[in-house]
Amino acid sequence: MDIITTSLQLWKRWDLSVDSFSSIDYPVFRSILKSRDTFTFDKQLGKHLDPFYAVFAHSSRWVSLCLEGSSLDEIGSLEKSLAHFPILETLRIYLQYVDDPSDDQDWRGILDLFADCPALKSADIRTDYMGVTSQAFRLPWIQLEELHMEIPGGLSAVFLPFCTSLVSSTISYVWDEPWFYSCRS
Amino acid sequence: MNHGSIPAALEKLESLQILLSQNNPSRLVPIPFRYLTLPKLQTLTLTDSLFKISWRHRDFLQFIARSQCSIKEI
Repeated sequence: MDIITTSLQLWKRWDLSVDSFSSIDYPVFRSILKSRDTFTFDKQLGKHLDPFYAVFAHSSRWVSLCLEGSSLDEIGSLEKSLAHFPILETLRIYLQYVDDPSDDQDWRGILDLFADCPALKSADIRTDYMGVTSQAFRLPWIQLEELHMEIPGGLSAVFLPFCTSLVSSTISYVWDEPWFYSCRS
Repeated sequence: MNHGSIPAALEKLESLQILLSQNNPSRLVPIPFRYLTLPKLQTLTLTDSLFKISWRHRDFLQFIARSQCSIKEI
């Protein structure tokens, strides 16, 4: 177990299906959560025993991260001080809409969770939440080389002028507000 | 940063794909060439399931002239 928890080469890539997190199919991870080591680890985090905190406490070793699901409120409510992404290069967020008003607030915390990712080169953000606009996401736009955004609740192309390192980009937008206004704002 | 009508210059962008959708299917969707300068652009893809894409041809020609790009695929 020590090998697992101390090796920086492990856990570099995370694909998290958040909705099925409780039954997540990562045998090693499950065993860690159930182990005494993990319990000790959680106690080091103080009051936080939630698996999400246990996972994000290792965010500093992630190179690639994919978050997918319809309920990202737990991640959105993470204390920013617990999540660090110094070597994260690839980020994918696939957020699906579920008509549940009680699930409509805390997930917004995810919008600025990745604002400080000094190594981030590739971002793929897709959601069908009409309430999400591209302006709401805080990413290190200027350093992105690849960008895929599908965000219906606003003009996704607003950030393009800031993406001076882009090599490849796919943009999806709804013609609700003119590009013109976004470029001028 | 671009805070006016000056086209945004993305010096490294080689591939741009724009997927269009709209809430009001009766309206044409303009492609914003007049707000971009893409000197390295090689591939430009525009996708619209409603066939409502439109652009001012003059804007497109100015975009090509301004960008000095060599588009290989459109």
